[in-house]
Amino acid sequence: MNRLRLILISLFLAGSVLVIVAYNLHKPRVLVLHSYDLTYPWTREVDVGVRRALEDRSHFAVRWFYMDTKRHPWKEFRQKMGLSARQSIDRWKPDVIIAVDDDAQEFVTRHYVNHPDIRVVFAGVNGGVEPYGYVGAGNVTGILERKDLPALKQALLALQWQRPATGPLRVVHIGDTSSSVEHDDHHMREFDWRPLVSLPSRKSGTFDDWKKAVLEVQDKTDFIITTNYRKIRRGAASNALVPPAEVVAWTLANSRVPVVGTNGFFVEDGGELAIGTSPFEQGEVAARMAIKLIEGQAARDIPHASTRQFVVYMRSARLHRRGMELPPLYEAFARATNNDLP
Amino acid sequence: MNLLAAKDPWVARLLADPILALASYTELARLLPYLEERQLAPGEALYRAGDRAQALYLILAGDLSLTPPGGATQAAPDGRAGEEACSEFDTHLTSARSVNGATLLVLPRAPLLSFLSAQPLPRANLMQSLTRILAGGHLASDAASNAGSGMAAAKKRKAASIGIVIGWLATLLAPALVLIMAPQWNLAPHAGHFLAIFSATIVMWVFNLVDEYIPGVFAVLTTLAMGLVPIPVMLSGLASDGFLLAMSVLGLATVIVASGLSYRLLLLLLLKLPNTPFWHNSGLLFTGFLLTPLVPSINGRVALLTPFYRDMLETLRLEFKSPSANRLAVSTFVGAGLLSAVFLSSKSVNFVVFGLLSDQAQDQFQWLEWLKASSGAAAALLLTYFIASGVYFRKLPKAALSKPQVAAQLSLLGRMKDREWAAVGGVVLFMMGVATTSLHAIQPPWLALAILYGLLLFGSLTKAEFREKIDWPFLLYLAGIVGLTAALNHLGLTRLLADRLPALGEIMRGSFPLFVLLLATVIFVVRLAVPISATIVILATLFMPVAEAHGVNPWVVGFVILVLGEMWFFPYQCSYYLQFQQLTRNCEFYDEKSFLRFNWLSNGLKLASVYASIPWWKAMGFL
Repeated sequence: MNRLRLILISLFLAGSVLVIVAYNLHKPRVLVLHSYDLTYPWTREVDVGVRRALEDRSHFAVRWFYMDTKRHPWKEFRQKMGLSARQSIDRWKPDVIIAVDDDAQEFVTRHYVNHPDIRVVFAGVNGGVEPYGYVGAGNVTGILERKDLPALKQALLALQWQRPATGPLRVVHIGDTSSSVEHDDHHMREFDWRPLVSLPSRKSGTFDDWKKAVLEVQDKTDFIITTNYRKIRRGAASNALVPPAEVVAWTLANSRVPVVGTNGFFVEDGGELAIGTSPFEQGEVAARMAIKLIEGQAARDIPHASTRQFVVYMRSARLHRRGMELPPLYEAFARATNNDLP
Repeated sequence: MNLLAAKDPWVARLLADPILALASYTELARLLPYLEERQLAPGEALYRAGDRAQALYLILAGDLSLTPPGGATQAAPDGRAGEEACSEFDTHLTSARSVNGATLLVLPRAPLLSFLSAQPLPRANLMQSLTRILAGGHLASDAASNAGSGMAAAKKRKAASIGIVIGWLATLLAPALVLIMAPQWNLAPHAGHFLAIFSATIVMWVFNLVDEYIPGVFAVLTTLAMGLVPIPVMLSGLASDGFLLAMSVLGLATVIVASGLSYRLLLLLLLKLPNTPFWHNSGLLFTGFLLTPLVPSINGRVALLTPFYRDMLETLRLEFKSPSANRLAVSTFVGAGLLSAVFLSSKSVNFVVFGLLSDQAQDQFQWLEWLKASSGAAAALLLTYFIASGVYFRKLPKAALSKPQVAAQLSLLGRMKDREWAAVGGVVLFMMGVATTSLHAIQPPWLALAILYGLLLFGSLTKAEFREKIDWPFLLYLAGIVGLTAALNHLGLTRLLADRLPALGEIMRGSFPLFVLLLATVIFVVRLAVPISATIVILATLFMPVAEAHGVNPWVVGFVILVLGEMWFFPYQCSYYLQFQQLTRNCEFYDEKSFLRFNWLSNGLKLASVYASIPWWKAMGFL
């Protein structure tokens, strides 16, 4: 009787283990590979979009990997994290990798182009996908990140403020020296800003360069547009990065002309207005593409998408105090999306 | 209770008895209905030696004297007689008589035995009292304990109570100070309040004011009661991989020890190894190493290994405190502790460091990967230990172990029992499962939980053992620490700390060897006052997030803290050495000075091994 009991328990246990193993082995695996880390608001909001799309797919095994290269932009660190991510991928063997932003493509997913078992969905790519070998690749699709420059132009034209100068409105782009800023700058140069006038952009590697650029353009422009400033070093000989909030605080305190961001984090860092690409859209569209791939659609049958949504971020109370007014629709949109900060 | 005692003479008498007063008042209250009073006339005998022992007697008024057979008459100690009724003796061993008459409180035997069944201390003291009466009123141990240890214990108690007062004062002042300073540090109100709670928690750990899991419970309770962070964040430790892995490994370790498998392994090793001093030492050493991944407590391993050390001394007929005996002591102790940072499952605090890693890093440093990452340090630790011990204990006289005795011990254990097979099965499944994770896609924490489930299902781990042998307070401690760290991250305090310590981050990234030296100095100073676990937890909580924020692998920093946190110079700094002292009858078997000198040398070896591991970590891409 005791032996029979033991046999039945063993069968039950073995059966349970078999079911668990079988279920796990057949669970579709999605790796969300971020170039940056969770202290970066953009990354957090891309994750919100991914989760929104995957919330009814609880049978997917989803893992997150953060390369954290925004805080540590040095080449050797990016290579090290790239290697670590690749080891993690080789161990876990995901079905789909959602790779967000350029470093994830450059240091990780380009090594999996035309991989027989792993498919890649890119997101947050500011430039083209040619450098990563994605053009014509049978296992890659994704969504490009493009600044919504028409929306930005409209907002700048609609912004009312005490402008000292006369003549056509002038804009200048100031950013750091990262590759994503380089890509954004390329698109901004190609964009038709008319009736506005776009001045040559300024890129700064150090905080002193940044300060110099901001001060020098004061009498030459009507708006400063900033894309990113997270890779500004404290000094030429230092690897320490200046905290973003410090860059923004200094810029607002020393600029007479309005400073407008192209990412929501500009307002989170203390800025007053940003017309930004929607990180939620990037995450959500990429995750929906991943679902399609898992459900059997071929990557080559899913065309590359591009940004279609923009989000307004503002600190309306501060804008009013500085005598700047936007049409009420902008403020209502920011408030409705919880992006009107105090 | 004192008020009641004044009103009721029976209660007053029970509480006046130095032994019965040790019992719980609830149990004493249950005993009360069975009591009765008895009068003795002058010169009347209460009982004679050989009479049935039916009750314990307490004098309410009058006198009572006791006469052991062939011994001198003595007054009933503490006004109590008839202790035989509390023991297995059916009859009285002494005679009792009142000279001037007495009023006695009678505690009948049956309810008394039921009352004492749950009161081990009063029962033992009553037995000692009976022995003392039979010995003529005094025991040799009375004098020793009164003279020698009395003064020392009083001194120790006084020092401890001063420490406790300072500790509680600091616990009150630290949060107040943080709350005052919080606005100057530009902290949001909720972050400031959390930091105040955190500071009180740390002070409680540092001063060892309460059991180590209690400050964690305090932090969880106050943080949640004040709503400072969301519940899922603060309680994330309870759902963490580290918690489940630790609980399951502790369950497996319970079966390994309780089944006798660990003891059998040790005997087998001693039987099979060559019969020379080197191999005797290696036997003890490697048994310790073998137990290291299986028994997740250095104290547990010391308790398992020390009896073998004593047996080996006797079997080899080694002179106490001789160089050979010293070396065996070192081998036993080092075997239990040297590789404790090398395996994830070898020390409970390793799970704390594991729990402090991010999800992706936990995935990267699961059991086998942890071992791989630490194997460079393990090799360096072993190499330096063998060289140092070879030089320190050179030219030992030859001695031989009695193999027949070990074989006899083994044969007495008989064949492998079912529970031992279950333990073997559990270990093998776990090891194989971890090594083949990529094939079956089950992560080690779930694998360990499945094994624990199997052990429970088959009854290899009983409900009583699951309840009593698993260190639940430690698991609460672990969950508390993981929750605290999650809350620190959630409130952005770790980022703030990293921003406030830019120089430290720069040193970590720019010159890791210099950071190791700084860390060793900090640990040396902190360890003078703070216990091992608290030191490791506090430093890991502070330094691992700083490492992450500055692009340095947090596992490497955590591992270095684990290795260097075990450094100690004075016996009071190391709980498992104090245990080793106790198990070797206060170092009766070895020369403590020589042992401590080698330990000091070992601290240097640990630091050297960390440095020697740096190229390995670089090669693995961690640095």
